Amino acid sequence: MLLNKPLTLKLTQLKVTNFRNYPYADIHFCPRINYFTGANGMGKTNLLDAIYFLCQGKSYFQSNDKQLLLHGQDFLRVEGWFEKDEKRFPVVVKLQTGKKKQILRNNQPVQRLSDFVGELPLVFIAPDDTLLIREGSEARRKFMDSTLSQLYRPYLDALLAYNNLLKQRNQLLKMGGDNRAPDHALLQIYAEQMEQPAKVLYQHRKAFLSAFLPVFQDIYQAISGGHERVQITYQSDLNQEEFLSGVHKQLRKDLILQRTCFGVHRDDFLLDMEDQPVKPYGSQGQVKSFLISLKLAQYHFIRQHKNIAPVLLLDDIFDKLDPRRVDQLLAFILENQFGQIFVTDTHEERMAQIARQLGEVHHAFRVNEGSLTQIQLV
Amino acid sequence: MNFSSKLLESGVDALSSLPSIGKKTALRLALFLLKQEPGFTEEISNALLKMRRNMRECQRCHNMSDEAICAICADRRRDQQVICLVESIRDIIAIEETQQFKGVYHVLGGLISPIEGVGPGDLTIDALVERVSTGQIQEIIMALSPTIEGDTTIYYISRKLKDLPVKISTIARGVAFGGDLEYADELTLGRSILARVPYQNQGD
Ligand SMILES: Nc1ncnc2c1ncn2[C@@H]1O[C@H](COP(=O)(O)OP(=O)(O)OP(=O)(O)O)[C@@H](O)[C@H]1O
Ligand SMILES: [Mg+2]
Ligand SMILES: [Zn+2]
Repeated sequence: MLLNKPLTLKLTQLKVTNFRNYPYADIHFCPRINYFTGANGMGKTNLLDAIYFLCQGKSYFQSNDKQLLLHGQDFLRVEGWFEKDEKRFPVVVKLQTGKKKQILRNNQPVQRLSDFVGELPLVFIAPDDTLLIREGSEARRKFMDSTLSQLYRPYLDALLAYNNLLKQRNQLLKMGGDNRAPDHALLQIYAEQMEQPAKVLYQHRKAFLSAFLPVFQDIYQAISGGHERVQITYQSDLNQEEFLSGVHKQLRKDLILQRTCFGVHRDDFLLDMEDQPVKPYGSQGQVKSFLISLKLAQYHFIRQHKNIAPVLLLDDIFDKLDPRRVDQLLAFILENQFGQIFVTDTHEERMAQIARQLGEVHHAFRVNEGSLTQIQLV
Repeated sequence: MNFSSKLLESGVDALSSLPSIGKKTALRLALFLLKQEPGFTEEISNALLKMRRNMRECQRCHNMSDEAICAICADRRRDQQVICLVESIRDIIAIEETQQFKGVYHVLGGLISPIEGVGPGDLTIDALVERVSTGQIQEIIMALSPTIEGDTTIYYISRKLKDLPVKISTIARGVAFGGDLEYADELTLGRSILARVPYQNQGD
């Protein structure tokens, strides 16, 4: 897994105004590891989300930007200073009610979010991410989509086109209803327009999974100490049938259900452990190990493709892991150059212990109701 | 905004109901009108009323028109065998600015987009097919915006015209203009109409 010294993306300073429970904060980060500790509900996750917001132009948790405004405020601002390839530059994301969100990279406005995404790579591991494993197929597609979109621009373009066309086609199917049959010629045209992007998505997902799987399995072995065999299988309508003929065969069903019943929007990635689905059978610790491995494998591919070590956000990841797995995870983090890392933990002692074990230069902060104080971990 | 006059307030409200006119601009306009002779406002109001009441839609191309047939369709010097298909009247104005196009137009009235409640039946597609099948139309240039909705619409219409002896071309799409035709600078637009390419009917 070790690479020939990739560059590292570093966030050296962060200023937030009116972001979630932070009225104002101005923090200097360590280029290696930053620890945040504090009781429940103090703002640890919010701080990581501010970093995510800065790098991706959107929240990791909230699709509605308005929810990010500190209660009662009508604007927010997140500013960060980055170092990349020996260059230092600011990024600012501004949001004001009634106005379009604005992103400034090096004082230049960013026109389209899709041009910005992938510039400041980062990987976020949050406790709720176990939904990736526990929930329906959508969460897993999203995970693959967000990984692949960061790696390949044509994938992102195909994804946007496919989703747009799918939405149009589904709406058209709904517009039929009652006695009015939807325009069949138009249904067919949408299917034909979807064919090319569907193929792009299918081929990328298939090829990517075969590269992803061994990396993922290695990481899982490292963290679990070789305990369980894990497997991911790509499931797609397109494994069985060509796109157009598949859609054509489902047309009657489409008309009845008023949605498109064949296509890559139904793809899934089946997650197995010891030949059983992880979902109902895996323990909490196993699910968490599975999740962390998925995310660290994602990290590996982003780093490899961009030749830059992304920022790594680890929110509460040591919870639910037994001490041996924590040790193995820490050893893994030490062995593999992970660039700049942000770690949260509610237990200050556990965090101090982790800091000692990792032994790397760090800053530590105590989070208390939306304000931060730098501390020494003892 | 706090007005001491109900009359001023309702005047400002009326003006600010226009697109891209905010309250501040509306107030500036209202105060300007109040400074002029009453006849000035009357002239403007009458011109607007007359425009609104008497404006018609060209029976042939659905352009705005003073008569049953618009000035462009009625112009004998223009090539009636070449139709440039556009989304809206604003596109006609943009293309006419370039002075590069000597044919006639057909205004579609939008793009196919079920999400926005626009189906083929809401556009002037049938009228276009009718125009092509009865007239001596030789070529249709699809000058629609380079978006997925634009693609769908072109694709759909070209299917409808499949069995008619008409050449279909598209303007060089996706180059040099940022989305809508309206924003294309005149030169690029003029050039792209001249440099149109035959439409490749996908799928057939
Ligand atoms: N828009 C907002 N305005 C003000 N406060 C907010 C806003 N959004 C969230 N909060 C508050 O932020 C707090 C949650 O912070 P956060 O999730 O970062 O806590 P945490 O330190 O990660 O806690 P835990 O240890 O439980 O994960 C809650 O008290 C919540 O009410
Ligand atoms: Mg939290
Ligand atoms: Zn006309």
